[in-house]
Amino acid sequence: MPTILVSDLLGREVRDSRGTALGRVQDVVVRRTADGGYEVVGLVTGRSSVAGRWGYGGSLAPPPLLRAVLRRLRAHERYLRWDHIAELGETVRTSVPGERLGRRWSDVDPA
Amino acid sequence: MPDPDTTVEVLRLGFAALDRQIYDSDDRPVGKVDDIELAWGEADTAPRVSAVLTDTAALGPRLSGRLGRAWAAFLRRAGAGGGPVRIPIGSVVEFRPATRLSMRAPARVWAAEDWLREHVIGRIPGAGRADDPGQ
Repeated sequence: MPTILVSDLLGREVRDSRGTALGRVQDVVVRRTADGGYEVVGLVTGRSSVAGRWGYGGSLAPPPLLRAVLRRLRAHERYLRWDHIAELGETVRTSVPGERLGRRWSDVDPA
Repeated sequence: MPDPDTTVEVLRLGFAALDRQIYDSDDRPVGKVDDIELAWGEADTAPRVSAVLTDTAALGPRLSGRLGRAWAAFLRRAGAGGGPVRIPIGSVVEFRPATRLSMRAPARVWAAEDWLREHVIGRIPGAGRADDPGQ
């Protein structure tokens, strides 16, 4: 069974179907499945992962005052559904143009 | 209002799990999530999380050059050189707010700490009294 580490995916360059650079892979999105496992449903692409890694306290939620700052720092992030990946090489190529990528996961996968 | 992008049903592994604390079934801190393994089955359209990697050996690939080689040599000497400890995803109860396991942590997780305690910390004069409440 082929395997890959999350750390191998992070940092890979991402380009859309027209060859436009969309930044690098900043995170991997998973969904809990009915059998208790976790299935990969997409990637987060963008310029920097710094603001996307900050979590605070037990809930990992930032304090209200910082929430707006972090939202602004993460404005460059885009969500890429796994089934929109055309090629998963050193460069990740999408099968859709960059404007089809949403700013929130709920934008690209309303279900 | 909860963030729909980081709720339990959908979560970002880098945010919710990587470099965050792991607790075993006895609530003991085991270490940090150093990496996460994904695997494809023949029938899978997308990979699934197959294991969590932890302990200091998982840091090896993140360190390059002499530092990485020195770290690997130290871990071999400490008896933890067999690669990172791999915890199957079936033993992970949850990722948020910390990674919790349904099993006791494998002893090899503490190999580097045990070696340091025996060969370095334990040789410091007075180290034997460190746990005395009256000192």
